[in-house]
Amino acid sequence: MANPNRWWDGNVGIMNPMTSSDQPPPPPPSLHLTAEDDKPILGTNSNPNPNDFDGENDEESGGGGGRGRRARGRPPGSKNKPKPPIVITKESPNALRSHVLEIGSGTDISECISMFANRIRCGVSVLSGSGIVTNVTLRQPAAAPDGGRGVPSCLQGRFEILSLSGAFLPAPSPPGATGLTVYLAGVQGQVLGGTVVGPLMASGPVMVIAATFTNATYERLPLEEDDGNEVDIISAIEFDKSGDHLATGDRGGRVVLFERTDTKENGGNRKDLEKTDSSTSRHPEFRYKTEFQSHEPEFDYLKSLEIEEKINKIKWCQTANGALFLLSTNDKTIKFWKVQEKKVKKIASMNMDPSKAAGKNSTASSSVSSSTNSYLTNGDKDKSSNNLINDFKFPSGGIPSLRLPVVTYSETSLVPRCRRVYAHAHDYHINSISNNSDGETFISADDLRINLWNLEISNQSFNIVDVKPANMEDLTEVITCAEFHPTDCSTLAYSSSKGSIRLIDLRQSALCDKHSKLFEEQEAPGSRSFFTEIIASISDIKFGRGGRYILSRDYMTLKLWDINMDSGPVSTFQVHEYLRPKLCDLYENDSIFDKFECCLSGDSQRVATGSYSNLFRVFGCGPGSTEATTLEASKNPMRRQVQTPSRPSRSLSSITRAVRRGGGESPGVDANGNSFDFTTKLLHLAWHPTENSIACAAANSLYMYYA
Amino acid sequence: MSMADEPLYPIAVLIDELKNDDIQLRLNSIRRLSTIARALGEERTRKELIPFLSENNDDDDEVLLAMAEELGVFIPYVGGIEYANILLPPLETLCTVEETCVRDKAVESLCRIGSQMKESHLVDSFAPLVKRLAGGEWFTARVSACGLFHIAYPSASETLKAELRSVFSQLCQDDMPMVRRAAATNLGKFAATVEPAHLKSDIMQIFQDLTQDDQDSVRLLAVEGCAALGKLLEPQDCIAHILPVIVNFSQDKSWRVRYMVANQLYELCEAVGPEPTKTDLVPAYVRLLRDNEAEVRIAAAGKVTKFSRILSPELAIQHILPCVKELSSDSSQHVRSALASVIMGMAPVLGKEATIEQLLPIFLSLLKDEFPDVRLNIISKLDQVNQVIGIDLLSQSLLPAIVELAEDRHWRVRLAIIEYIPLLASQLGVGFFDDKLGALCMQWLQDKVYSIRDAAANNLKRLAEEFGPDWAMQHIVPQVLDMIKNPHYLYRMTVLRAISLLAPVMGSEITCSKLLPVVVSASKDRVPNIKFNVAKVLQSLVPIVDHPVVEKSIKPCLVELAEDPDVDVRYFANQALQSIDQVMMSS
Repeated sequence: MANPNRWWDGNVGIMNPMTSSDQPPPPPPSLHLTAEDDKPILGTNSNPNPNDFDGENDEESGGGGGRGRRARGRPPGSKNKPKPPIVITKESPNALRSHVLEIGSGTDISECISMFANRIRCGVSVLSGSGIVTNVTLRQPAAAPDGGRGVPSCLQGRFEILSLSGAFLPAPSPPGATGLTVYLAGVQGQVLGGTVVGPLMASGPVMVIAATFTNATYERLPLEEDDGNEVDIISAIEFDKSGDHLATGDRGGRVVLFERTDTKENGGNRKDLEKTDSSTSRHPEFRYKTEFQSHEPEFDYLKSLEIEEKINKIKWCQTANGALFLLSTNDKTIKFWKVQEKKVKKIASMNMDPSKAAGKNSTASSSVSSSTNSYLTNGDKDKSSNNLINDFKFPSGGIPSLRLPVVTYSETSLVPRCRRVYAHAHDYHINSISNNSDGETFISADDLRINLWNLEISNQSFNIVDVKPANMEDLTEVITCAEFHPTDCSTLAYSSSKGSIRLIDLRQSALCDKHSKLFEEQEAPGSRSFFTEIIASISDIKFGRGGRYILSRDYMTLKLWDINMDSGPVSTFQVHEYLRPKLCDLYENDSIFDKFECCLSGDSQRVATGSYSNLFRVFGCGPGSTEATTLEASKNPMRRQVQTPSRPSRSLSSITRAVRRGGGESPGVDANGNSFDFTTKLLHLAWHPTENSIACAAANSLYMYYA
Repeated sequence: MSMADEPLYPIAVLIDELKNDDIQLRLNSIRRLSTIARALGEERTRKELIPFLSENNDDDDEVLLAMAEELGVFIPYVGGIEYANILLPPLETLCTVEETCVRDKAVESLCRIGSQMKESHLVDSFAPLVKRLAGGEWFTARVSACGLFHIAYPSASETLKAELRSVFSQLCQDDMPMVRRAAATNLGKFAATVEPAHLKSDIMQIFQDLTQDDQDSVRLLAVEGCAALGKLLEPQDCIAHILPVIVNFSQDKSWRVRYMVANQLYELCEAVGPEPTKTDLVPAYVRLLRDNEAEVRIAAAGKVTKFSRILSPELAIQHILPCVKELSSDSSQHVRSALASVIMGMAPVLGKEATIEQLLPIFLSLLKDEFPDVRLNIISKLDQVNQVIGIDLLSQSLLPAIVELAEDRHWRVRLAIIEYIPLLASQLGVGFFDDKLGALCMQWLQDKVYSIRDAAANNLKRLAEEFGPDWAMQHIVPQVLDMIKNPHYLYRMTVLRAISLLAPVMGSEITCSKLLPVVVSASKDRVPNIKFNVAKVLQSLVPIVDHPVVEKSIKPCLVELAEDPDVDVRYFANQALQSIDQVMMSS
């Protein structure tokens, strides 16, 4: 390392942090929200509110809505130019919009429509057409002698359109998606048909009925059955600090945001909301807000490795100006996202009439876009117009005929933008990321190393922990999870596969290979078995809100540690002790390596973690609390008391908010609690920061439970 | 509209593109905002363009950044200083965006405008703007506010000044660490504008609070403020208020804070005067030199010379030198490297005797360091020590070090040492050079790496300049010309390169008698690459030699090459012939 650490060195000025990549607007929400009536089984504390999860009305405004309406009629100065199609538009995003296109005599129908599709950046589906055309070039596959690609045949004369159909997509479109098919009647009544390959010249006005659409999604069929469901499986879940937003990530690389709706109606500013929020006993209700594709599958050519798009972790960052910020990571790359409401702008008036400009250039693009090209090719300036401007003498009073463009804003839409990409810093798979309380740094941990980043600087990170031995054969322990202390900016904890948690003080040294505290439980003598080491591996750690307690989850237990007591855990909770005899089976089907997450309630009085058969368990961890509840995440929740004959003093009543995505029913679970379905496991869950509600993910469904 | 054919057309397009869908076009339009403003005239710029821009804050960050920059120099286009306050609203909105670099640029532009504004405007428009931002709902506005106080403060009334001070101190206690960091960063600038009375009361209180912040990142920035504040205060106040803080910081638990102290400490010595320096700062600095974190030692070692210059030689010898000795055998190569890069500068400070006695052993041990960077750093600063004790004492150790670097495995190390050879040559003198280093210079010409061969050729030229043509004739030219017989064409090419570089230095006579024949004979080479390089070299020799020589030797040779079967050779030969013709014509 020739270049020693220098990141703390004051404010680092980065000249161009604009690493954002423009993401296309997300496809319409594929999320399907079902309303479910509550069925409290034990009758305690039932929820009075009917479920009003009618999220389907949540229409995202599409990208097509923002196009300016084009002027009607013939633009001045284009007398001999064929008429452009007249467009009748009506704003209604994400729906098919119907159009009647009138195509002037002497113009090529297919070129006109394709131009139109490109201009308004919409797909155009041609439904029907009528009128007379001349000199048609068709390809008739059947007429080809070799039976393969047909030979184009040019038909001279006038024909009447019987039927016209086809589709056009704005560039860039997948090959073969665009095309026009026509049936024609000749003068002697013969009917001809085929694919249009050459010009299709209108002779006299041709009327075309067409529908435009935006956001066509490209699907490759047939769908692979497994993959179709697999990508929907939720792989990360996180509340933001205020609890007003919830984010989930899935195996398909998507991040879905939910917004709390029950506090919004109160109005007032944020702080008021917080206050009223805590005083009322309303249950949090979340509704779909937006979603975006955070990661795409990639291929590492140097290592011949596929990089999955699966989201491993999501973390929320500081909100600013009403925009939401979050970090999402897959195995290798961390991305910093900003989700902001943007006004959809419409230009109401300009100096140059675009249609007239089109006349001047006699190309498909307007003068505005043709000057784009010249600007781009000359680097950043068009020299000729540049000189023109510089030579021009401006009158002192300015030029009255110039106007500023008038912009009107109609609606707002949520725009996710990737602001920064933190890549190429991890040789192994990233298992966790965590923000620092100073608001400017975060860490990312992979199997062997922990790196420290500045949020503003994406091309540099600093290795603070490295457990890689000189010889990889000596490797006995890997990092499984790392998290910053919630308030103390210099403390972080990381857990290992050997079941230990190490606390690090960043102030001590630049390279924190030495821990300041170590939390480990001595194994009971004689209890050692083949599985001891495997099940000791900690899959997740979480700090409690004040930072005094750390909750850890290993395969069989939840452990709560006090950071002031390194002799052993404060308490240990058995999650699914009944599985201990089955460890051998679990090992054989690899379930023993499942990584369950854990969470603490906002007041650190309860802890929760998941198990198999879509069950999750909630334990009271306050002094003297013996609370232990088992809940099932399903549409028909049923409280299960498994093995532990606990006395629920004040327990969570289970009320589902079932939010399911696309996929089918989760497989039925045997209700007697003995046979367990190892394929349905509840790995991810998160506790609302201020209220007694838990969001948990079972396969592709998201459930909200609250007390 | 009927302006399409008029010269207004490009401007009309430029204006329209302010709202184009293509970000590149919007960016281009924003960059030429001044042109648009001139086209609209001052009044319409004020009434239409500026309000238009104020609403235009929903754009991409790249565009906003360009806008913030343009608006900073926009005063002439809105009608001069009289109307400068018109520019504040759009910049105010830019001060609240989330992207740091946009905010920073907007603050910079506001400061630039504010420093030109009339006092009444500052009071009526600028100060309220600062207060609005400081009370902003989101931290972004409050962060921006911190950078504006030093502009608003000087012209404010007494009551307003008091208010601004209290607003600033509130910002220093903000919930958000980002705001506190911004306040800490700007404390020095603000303090410079505050009256001495308030400086001691209000500002020192703020400073005390910041130094006790529980976020490391805030405390580090407070360290930076130490030196700035120290210079503003009277020495006795500085000793009373700043000195304890910095001494405390030098023992802070966080190595990052200590690192900052190590970087800043010498600046404070001037502020506090010699006596406290001796009693407090020297011990603090010595502690930092012996810190157990390597990063801190690196920073401290890098400041050894600067710190020693402030001290008297006795103090430096007594306190600093022992530490330097320890550092020269530090376990971290980066510490040794940082020390090596500055230690030569200590020689003039300590004087001849102490240097020979104390420093010389350290130089020698660093010259034998296993890490090439350390050795290179010593060699690069050789001239400084040469002035004090002469080079003879070092030369015994110097030579093995140079030879070892010259044969280092890594070509970048070899390249680095070649760059220093002319410096060494001038310091060591001809005699020493001939004996020991001449052979090395020739050896580099036959290196496997092109960059080294190229640098070696350049090196020969610089040596020839240093020692003169006669010396070069004796010690360089024969050896170089001998290498033209090398069987590998790449090495023969290096010779040609060296000849073309040496020729201007050697002068016409030697070029004609020694160099030119070799080049001409190389034109018979069997490798085309050599032949067209001959053509290039011949072209470069034309201005050096006399006219008859050109006619007699160079031209025939080129004419022959111009009929070569290889197309490249013909091309370069013709190029050379053309340039000869041009020279002949003009003369």
